[in-house]
Amino acid sequence: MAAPMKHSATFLSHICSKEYALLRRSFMQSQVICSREKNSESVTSVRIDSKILKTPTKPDGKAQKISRAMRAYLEKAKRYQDAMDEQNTLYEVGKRHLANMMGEDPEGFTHKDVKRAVAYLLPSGLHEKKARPVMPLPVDILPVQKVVQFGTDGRPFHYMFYTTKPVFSELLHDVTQHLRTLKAKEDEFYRTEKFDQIYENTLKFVDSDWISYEKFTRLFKEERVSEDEYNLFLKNVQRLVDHPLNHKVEDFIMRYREKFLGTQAKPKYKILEESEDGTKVIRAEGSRKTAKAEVVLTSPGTGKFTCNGKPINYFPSVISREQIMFPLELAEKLGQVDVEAKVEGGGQSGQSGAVRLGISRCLVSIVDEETVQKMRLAGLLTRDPRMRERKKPFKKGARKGRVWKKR
Amino acid sequence: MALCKGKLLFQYFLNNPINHARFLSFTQSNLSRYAKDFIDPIVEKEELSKPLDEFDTRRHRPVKAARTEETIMGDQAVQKFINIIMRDGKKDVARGVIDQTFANIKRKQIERYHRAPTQEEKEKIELDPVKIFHQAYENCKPVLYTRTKVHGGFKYKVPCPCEGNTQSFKSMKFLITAAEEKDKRIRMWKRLSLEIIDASRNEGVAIRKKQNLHRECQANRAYSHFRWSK
Repeated sequence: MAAPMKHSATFLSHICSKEYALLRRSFMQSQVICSREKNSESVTSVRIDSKILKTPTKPDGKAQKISRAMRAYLEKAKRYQDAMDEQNTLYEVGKRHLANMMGEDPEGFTHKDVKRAVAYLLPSGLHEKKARPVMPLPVDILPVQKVVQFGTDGRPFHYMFYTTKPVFSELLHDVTQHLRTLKAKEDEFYRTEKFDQIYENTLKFVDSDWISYEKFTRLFKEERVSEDEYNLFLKNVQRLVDHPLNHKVEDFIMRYREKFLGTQAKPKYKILEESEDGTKVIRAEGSRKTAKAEVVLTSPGTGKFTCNGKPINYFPSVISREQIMFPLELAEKLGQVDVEAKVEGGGQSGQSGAVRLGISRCLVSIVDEETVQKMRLAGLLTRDPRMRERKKPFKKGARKGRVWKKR
Repeated sequence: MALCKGKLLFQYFLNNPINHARFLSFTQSNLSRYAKDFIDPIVEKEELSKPLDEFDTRRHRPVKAARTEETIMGDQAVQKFINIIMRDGKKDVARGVIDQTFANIKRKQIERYHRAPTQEEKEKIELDPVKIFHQAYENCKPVLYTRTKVHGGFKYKVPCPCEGNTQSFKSMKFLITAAEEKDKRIRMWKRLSLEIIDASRNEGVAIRKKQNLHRECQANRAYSHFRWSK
């Protein structure tokens, strides 16, 4: 484990000692780095000019006063900015060296390439990924400070600054603003007596739901939004959804909504034979747990059923037999089709579930669309994703614990 | 081996992200294999036969697969009853007991039907065992039950309203324990069938158990304010 590390270290120091120092330092730092959200964007958004810290003058030539607190605040921000700049230049130099070592163009060298280069030049056998050598971005290592939020005149840039959560407050403000405009537009309809036009384009938003609390919090980088505040937002924005003229703010609403996963994909089946008198032979596959089934269905038939060459007695328990009846009963095809199934793997209930899925997939090609919708709602066209849960160490089964008594 | 299979499955999901992305939910907080959007399947015939509204969200959402005991042929209350009577995960045995119970109920009722002297009395007799079971199940449902609460080192029995799953479970448990307490030399299905017929007429041990519970709640009504205390 240590050998390739040592080798590459000597190799590197031979080429460029400065580069090696940088890499080594970042390697040392890598052990204390914890994952943190990148907000490099907000750090560099407002830059402090060094001129600000000198006593500025008013247009009439008199010296402008800056309070001591304000000055300290600005100086602190400046110090942080300078440190960041220094680190950034160091990173840039390191990046160029790495690019040269790899024989690539230093201009188009990205952070992704840096990672690749470090992994190549300093191969590590360490299992823990956090312990391997890295050259991270300065933003990821240095403690993040809040961006400057005041001007020299002591006034905050953001008009909602004193709410302590400016971005969130602005969002709530926007919602109420939208609601006001919608109400005004609705009044306009009443005034002009166009009553029937109000509900013309109303949207129902049936295929989407509000984004989760976790996703909502990610919208606010430096603010912590509590669950109560999230609920407050939902309560307010729901009024927009309920409004008859909601189509005018659809874009705004859909920013905070997520579409459902949608209905399942169309079930796969293959029509093997199809004659003019209406007989069809369909083949489909089904599976549940570890069992896999292959079903060939003939319609119309006489209600024959064979599974691995045996009649329904292949399944000893009544529950399993009912499983096979279920799709046929729902589609009202019991006794009207022939079913031939081949199953392997799994136990009794797994095999019967696999055959059930195979039969219902076959039936889709015969029955009308309304019945397909019914079968979908009854959960017949979904492959049951539940599998046997693995046993855990120090437990008797997947979840069951051992009896433990202190005394 | 299990871990290996898990890895394979994971790779399979990764290779087919479009079809199987909805099954991916590896976060610890949600132990379900289904994603959040999935809705429970409808397995009642009446509910299924209703036409879906144009703006029904069920049109746009994926559905979970129906579980093994959920079929439109079966009765959901009876399925629950089988699960409660089951011991050591032997569902086939439990189901056998219930089947024999219903057969015995049917036999008893037909016997009673033929013994009835007039046509009017014959018409009154219910012959469907599932309906009789439902009647018994409804009759045994308690309105109140007690929860123990430790307060100042003393245990108090606090009367609470009994609703939903608790109510149905208690009702079924009354029927089963009442049958179990009878003469052990008689078969369980015989004891249970007699108990169910009795309960459907508001008689028998199971009904008395329910009334006893109500009486206990009545006696402890002074402690009902503990429901709101911490």
